[in-house]
Amino acid sequence: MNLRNIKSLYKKELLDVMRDKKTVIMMVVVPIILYPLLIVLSLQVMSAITTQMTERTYIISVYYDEDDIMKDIIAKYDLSDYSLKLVSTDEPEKALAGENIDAYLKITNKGGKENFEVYYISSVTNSGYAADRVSDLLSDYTKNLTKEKLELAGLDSDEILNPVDVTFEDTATNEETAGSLLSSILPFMLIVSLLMGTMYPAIDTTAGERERGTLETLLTLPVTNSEIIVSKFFVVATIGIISALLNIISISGVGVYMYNMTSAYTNASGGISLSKFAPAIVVGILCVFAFAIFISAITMCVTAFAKTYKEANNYITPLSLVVMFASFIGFIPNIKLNEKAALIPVANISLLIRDMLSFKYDAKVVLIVLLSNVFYGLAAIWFLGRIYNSEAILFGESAAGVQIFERRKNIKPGGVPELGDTVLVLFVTMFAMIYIGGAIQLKLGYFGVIGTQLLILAIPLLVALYTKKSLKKTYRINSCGIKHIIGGIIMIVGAIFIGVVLTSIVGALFPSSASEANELQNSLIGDNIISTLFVVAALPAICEEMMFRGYVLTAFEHKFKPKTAIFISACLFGIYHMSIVRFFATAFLGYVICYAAYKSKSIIPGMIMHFINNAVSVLSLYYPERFSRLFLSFIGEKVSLLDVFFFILMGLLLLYAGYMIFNIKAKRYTD
Amino acid sequence: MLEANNLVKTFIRNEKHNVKTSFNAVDDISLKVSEGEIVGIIGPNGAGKTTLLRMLGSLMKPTSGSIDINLDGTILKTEIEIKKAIGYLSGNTKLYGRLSTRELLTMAGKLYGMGESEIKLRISMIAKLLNLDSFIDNRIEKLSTGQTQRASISRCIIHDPRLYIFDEPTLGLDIISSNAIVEFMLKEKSEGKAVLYSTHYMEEAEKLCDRIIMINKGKIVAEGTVEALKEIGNSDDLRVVFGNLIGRGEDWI
Repeated sequence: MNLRNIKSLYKKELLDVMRDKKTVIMMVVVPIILYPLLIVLSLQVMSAITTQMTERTYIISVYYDEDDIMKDIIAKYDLSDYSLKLVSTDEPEKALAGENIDAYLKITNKGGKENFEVYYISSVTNSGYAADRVSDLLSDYTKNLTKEKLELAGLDSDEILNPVDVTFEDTATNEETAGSLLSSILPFMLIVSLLMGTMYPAIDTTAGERERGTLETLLTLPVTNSEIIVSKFFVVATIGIISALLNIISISGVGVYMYNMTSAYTNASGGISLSKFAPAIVVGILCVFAFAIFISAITMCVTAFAKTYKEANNYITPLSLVVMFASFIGFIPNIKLNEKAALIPVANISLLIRDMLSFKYDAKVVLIVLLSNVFYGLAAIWFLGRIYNSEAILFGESAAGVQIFERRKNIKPGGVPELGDTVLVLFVTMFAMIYIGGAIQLKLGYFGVIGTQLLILAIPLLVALYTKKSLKKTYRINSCGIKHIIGGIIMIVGAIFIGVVLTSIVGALFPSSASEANELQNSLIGDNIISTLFVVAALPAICEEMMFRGYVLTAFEHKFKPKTAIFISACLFGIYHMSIVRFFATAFLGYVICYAAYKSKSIIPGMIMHFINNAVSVLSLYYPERFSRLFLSFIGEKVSLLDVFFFILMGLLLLYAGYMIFNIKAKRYTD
Repeated sequence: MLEANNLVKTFIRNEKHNVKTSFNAVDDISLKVSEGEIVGIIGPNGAGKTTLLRMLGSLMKPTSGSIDINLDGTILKTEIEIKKAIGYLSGNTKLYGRLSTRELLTMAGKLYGMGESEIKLRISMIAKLLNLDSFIDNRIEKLSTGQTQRASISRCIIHDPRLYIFDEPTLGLDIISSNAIVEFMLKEKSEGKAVLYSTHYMEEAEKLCDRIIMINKGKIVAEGTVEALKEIGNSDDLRVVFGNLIGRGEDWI
């Protein structure tokens, strides 16, 4: 990639997009004029309604057997103090239903005790207010009555009614109050404004350019696909950042306005010191940049394959729904931003901003959120740059086929999964694992794990069946040589050695994540070692292999060079285990198994290898002493550098030995 | 200067019911263009002219075959080197409406690796040559068809290439605009540059080309000078010649 070219293209794209009226409207007019105007207007309408509510007189009727009590009340209290007015009606139910009166009161005498019944309609605002006023009136009346009766009995009413004094003091500082108010709206606003800000330029620079016919002109110039994608990405991110910053400024302006308005009402003492928000502001701005990278990359991945504006719009709608849904997580109380949640895109930004505004933060988690967003974004752009084939996009052949939305009878049977379908399968499976899998594991425990595995198996399989793919080809249902099995077993043992080292290193960096990962493992111990082996080792060896070495690797292999396909599949395998501590180890393991599947053209060695790997961890949980003896108490407190070297050396030797066996060529001996 | 051997481009065509069939849009074509030569490519719609030119211009990769561009003894191999050496223009290439011609030329010049002052000098030269001065700073979307066409040409000559590939450059233009292009090609030829261009217009080709390559269904039907073709095809009218060569007389028109 040539930086000079990227700079020239960036300049051109930016000029092109910025000169479009639609961009300016989305970027400047909406946040700077429309949002504040809407918020201020709705506030004014609300305050007008509140004023009207407080100033209104509510009309009630009263029904009673004996009228003494009501007379007593009327004599003692001025109803207008309670904004109430008494009228008489014959049919109170009808009057209330017809909203001629706001509430009515029925007083009966049951066994010498007065009984008050207040009738109102909670769904009618005025009626609800009227009931509140009546309740105030009756509570004052009751208190007074109690007092009178106590005094009649010669007792000190104050001492009996208020034996202790209770006061509430709000110790939250003004900053905390303001922060908690802001945290309920800012994360969502920020995410949505970035999404909206990037959506339009993402469509315009990709599908728009194609539709206007300028992409061909661009391709006559000496630039590469990656340079085109990267420069467009920078433009989309720039516009996203500008529009998000404008949004923040505008929201803050409205916030100050609101604060001034409310403090004028409540006479709150003391102002807000902005310096307390300095960390929140700094992190907030960093979040804007990190999330801009992420969301620009994601929107471009979606729009780059659309041929027209309309098509791009169709693709982006589901994406924006998912993003908005995920950003709502900041609203849910008691969801903690831990190291694991920090890896969930969109939700992590939402939670981080919320925490920053409540002055709760952990530097490590902040770093994970920012870096993971940048990482996801750059990875997506790198990936897009690699698969973006301008020739296919421009001249017809669709680059990433999506067949799942075709009518089934129109699909020609055979072949391997299309790239577009595979990306969809990956998204849907991830979604199902997090939301469905997570829920059933919480509810059903052990059986939930089985359910999650079945989801991993079923989603790609159903898509493969619907799109009439060759299951034999897709899932590599072929026999394999004995050398593949022996070589595979030796390789996986080597990979386990390396994996232990990788996990320990990352675990030392993220201790809380490590203990969480351990807890998760311990929770998997069932009563019976056989059933545990089945659920934790055998089932994943079948289900995960079918998905990752079957569906996913096959689809990628068809579209990319084998090395790239194996690398991407391995990283995905790591990501899908959703743990930072285990990411490198599982990705490495995935790499070795992918290689075995690719080389042997069969799913079988991978299944055996996967089973052995998982079985080893199950056994290490059941027989920890024996394992610690076996592994030289590597995971214990004292680890010497020598142990680490030994582990790495053993691992590499075994990997090499396995690799050699895997690649033995049958020799023919002649006399 | 340009030599292509056994070029093939296979497309997968999506037909009804998602049935995919493959066909060769360009089927084993070899050709040569030398310095100071205008070579015309003639054929009906769908003959494979555009695909052929796109492969030669490195906009598309050939399914098989090789393309060599030889500039004073250096053979250009990479896509980027080839794109830098040629000026490519087609009726399909649209310009950025929201930019001005000057901005477009500056951007293109930078991508071709030219320096700022070199770009400025070249723009003022081209502006004179193609009479751009009156609209060079206006947005392209505001220009007339003829002005846009001149802006298009200026874009593909900004880096002073030695070889031009023009895909139906005069299609749909009025006489004045198309004459400007024809004259431009003749002028470049006189400076020793090579031009490869495709057209529907037989008269234009006859007037302009040193050699003509007739293609049909992705294959070369005949090639040679205008006179040689007329002789092979037994007619004074190139249309009839083409028809005779593909065995359909004047039917094909």
